[in-house]
Amino acid sequence: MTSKRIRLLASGTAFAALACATVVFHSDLLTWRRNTVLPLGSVAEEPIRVAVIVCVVYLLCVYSIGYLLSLLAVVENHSRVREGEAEGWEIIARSRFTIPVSVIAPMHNEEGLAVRVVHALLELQYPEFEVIVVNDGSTDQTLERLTREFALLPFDRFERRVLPIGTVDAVYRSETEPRLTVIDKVAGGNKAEPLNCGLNFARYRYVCCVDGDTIYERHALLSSMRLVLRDPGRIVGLTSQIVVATHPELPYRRTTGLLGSTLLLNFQHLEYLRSFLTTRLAWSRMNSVVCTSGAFMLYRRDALEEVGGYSPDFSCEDIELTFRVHEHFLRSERPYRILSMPEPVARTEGPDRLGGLISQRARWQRVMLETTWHYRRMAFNPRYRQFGLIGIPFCILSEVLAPFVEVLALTTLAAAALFGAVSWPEYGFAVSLMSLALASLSVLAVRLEDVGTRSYRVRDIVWLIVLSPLELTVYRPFLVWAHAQGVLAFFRGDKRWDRFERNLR
Amino acid sequence: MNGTDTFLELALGAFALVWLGLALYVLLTRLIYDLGGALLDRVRKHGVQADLRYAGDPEALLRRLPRRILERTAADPATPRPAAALLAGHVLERHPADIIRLARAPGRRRRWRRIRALRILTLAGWHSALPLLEEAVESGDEDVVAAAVAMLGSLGNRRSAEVLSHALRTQRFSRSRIAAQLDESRMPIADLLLPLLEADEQQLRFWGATLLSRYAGREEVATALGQAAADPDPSVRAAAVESLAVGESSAATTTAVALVRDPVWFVRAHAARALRGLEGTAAAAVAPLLADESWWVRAAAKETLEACPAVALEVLVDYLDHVDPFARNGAAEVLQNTGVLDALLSAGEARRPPDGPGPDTLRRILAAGGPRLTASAAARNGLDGEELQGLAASGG
Repeated sequence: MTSKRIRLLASGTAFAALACATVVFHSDLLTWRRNTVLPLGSVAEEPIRVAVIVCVVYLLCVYSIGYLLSLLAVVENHSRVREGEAEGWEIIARSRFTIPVSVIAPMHNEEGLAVRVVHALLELQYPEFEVIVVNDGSTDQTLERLTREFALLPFDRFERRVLPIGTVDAVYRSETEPRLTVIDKVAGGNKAEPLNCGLNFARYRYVCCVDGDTIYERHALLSSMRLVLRDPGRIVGLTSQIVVATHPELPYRRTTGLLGSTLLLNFQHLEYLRSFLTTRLAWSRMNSVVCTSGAFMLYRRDALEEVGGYSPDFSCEDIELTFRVHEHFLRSERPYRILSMPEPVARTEGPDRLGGLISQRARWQRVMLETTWHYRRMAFNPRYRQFGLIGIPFCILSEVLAPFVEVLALTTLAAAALFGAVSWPEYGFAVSLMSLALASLSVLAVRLEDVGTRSYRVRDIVWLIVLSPLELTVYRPFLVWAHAQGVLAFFRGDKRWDRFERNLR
Repeated sequence: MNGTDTFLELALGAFALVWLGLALYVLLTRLIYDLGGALLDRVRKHGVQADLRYAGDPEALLRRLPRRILERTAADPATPRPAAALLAGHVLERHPADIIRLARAPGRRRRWRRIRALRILTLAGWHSALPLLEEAVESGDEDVVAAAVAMLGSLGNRRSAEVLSHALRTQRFSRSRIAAQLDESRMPIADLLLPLLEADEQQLRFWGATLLSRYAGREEVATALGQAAADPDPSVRAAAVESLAVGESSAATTTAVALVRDPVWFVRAHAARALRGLEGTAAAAVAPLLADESWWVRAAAKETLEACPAVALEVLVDYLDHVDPFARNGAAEVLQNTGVLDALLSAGEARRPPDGPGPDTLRRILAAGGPRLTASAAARNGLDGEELQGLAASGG
């Protein structure tokens, strides 16, 4: 299942920048500042002027905040990397006091990766954990392949019925791997239901909800629980970095690297890096993480149960749950923390076709609108502290308003072009400026990743640096289109949980 | 060129410089790191082969490396210990005063360098490392304390255990993390832990009871744990009964059997688990917990009963018709997991006349387990599910 909730620092605003910057710096158009009139006539002049001002102010706000967030992210990354170096993981890896974790992996038609995903989960380096796979009404060979590989036999188990979960057909246990439980249930039509089902069966104090199409690093639990163990009373949720890879089933060093991948996947790789390392880390420092990624959501089970588990009423479950947990703890005035970690804990497949990418991002845009609309009472409300006063407002600014500003900017650009008010050489200047502003953030993200892991080959670092200035013009326009589709779907009330088709291999 | 054009050009130039500067910085730092890594690989190889003596080639290589890289690699927990010790010794030999000064450096800004210096001193086996670590534990900086606690644990001597025990008392850091280090101690430290059971603070008594499990076989410890099992705080009672069970003394059984009736659910759950492996007596004492109000207690009871399959059927057969549906479910699940259900099915009990003794037990298990358990049993044994569901529904 795919729900990589990646929210970008300048998500969707870059294309707007492209349009706005072009128009605003046009020499003819700028004459309004000097109290002269445009050659395009008084009827068009005023609306264009207002639109330009709106777009530029918006753009400056988003970029300024983005750069401030990056500075915070640098500090946070430095602390996390040093913490890891200072303490080491050996004791946590073998201590009986390390809190056990239930890993929940919902799967729906994942026959291609299911076996490898479960193997990767069972190979996690952690003293005590269980893996609960919830087969959510797969119509392909997912269950059969798991049955064959892990010698599954149906053995009923009476679960806690704390959350509504639909119909469970059978519970399987493995003859070869005692830590594995597979639950076969009737398809719920969303990811929330199988996750709640897994929660009902989970036995341990922390639960880690993962994706069924994502391969996890062996240290994933150790590196994330290391921080939780410092303060389990307060840390109720945690997420960590997910990496987009062409072959997630293979470790990076055994692949040809980013140069052997497609341009589309490389842009997604860069985008994920920036999102996790220059944005979420900063929000983590301010305890305002807006989304614990669906590919790696580590939560204290009692916190999840208190808030009523995952909600099936939204197109996607992860961002809404994060909002709800914030709301719950802030309303009850109990100390809590939701963290985002810089360590890459998993490799996932991104869509390698444009159609898949647009449909995925449209869904993300839709769920962002659904969630912010549902929790609008929290925005600018001092009761919800920094999350209500900074986190949600920034979310509204950069995510919710982005599609509207994008449409406004494009319309303005089209109008200005129609009236001959666009100077194309200056357009090129403005585009370059915006491209480099975004690219600098991308390179910073590459640096943060490299300093933490040192895993990239040098040639891949060079490739990412070269790609970074192209992102705005080559990749972003498709996201603008996706955002617009997401907005339309939101207004239509569409709540489909559509995932992109697996990439062909 | 008007003012706006100039502004645009300046801005573009500034961003181009930022981008280029960052790109070069990323690449250069990485190349330096790789270069250092290659040299260090050679050092590691030589260091291990030369039994950690600084001789010839490794020494020459080490001198070519910048101090910062040497320090960082020596202090990195990922560096194999022999190589780390070799590097730490080298760094300390070259800059002793500086390293000691850094190990004492107060303030948050220099905390990472302080941690690195402490690690170098510890690895190099420097005589005054322990007092410096003790000082670090008292520093109040969470990161410094965390690192110092880990280093004290790695020392594994009596004095470091005393410092850790003191840190546990004064809660200088997460108690579970300090306890994890104490639990790894190679020295016998029961005498340090026993006084914790007398502490006023319930958390300390809890950790005392938990950590003493390693010494539960000793008479004085078993006695103290027995007393702790009557502690007013439930978490202490739960820890005490679990630790006592490790010692497998007769007191352990008596205490656990008494605590399965504790008013607090998690004490009952721990008591039930403590009875695992204590066979005979366990089953009879634990079986009533199948009807407990808490799911966790019922789960613990089931685990314990599954661990004594020899007596499970005898004890559980009465629970198949229990008034509480949870107890019926639980009994059926245990009989399923211990193989009793499959044994009855493979013996052909399902096809015998329904009034015989065998089919009745089978029918009662299936009826108690419900349709999902019955369907699972049929699938597992290659039987007709509907036929089994019919048997489950018949009689009773």
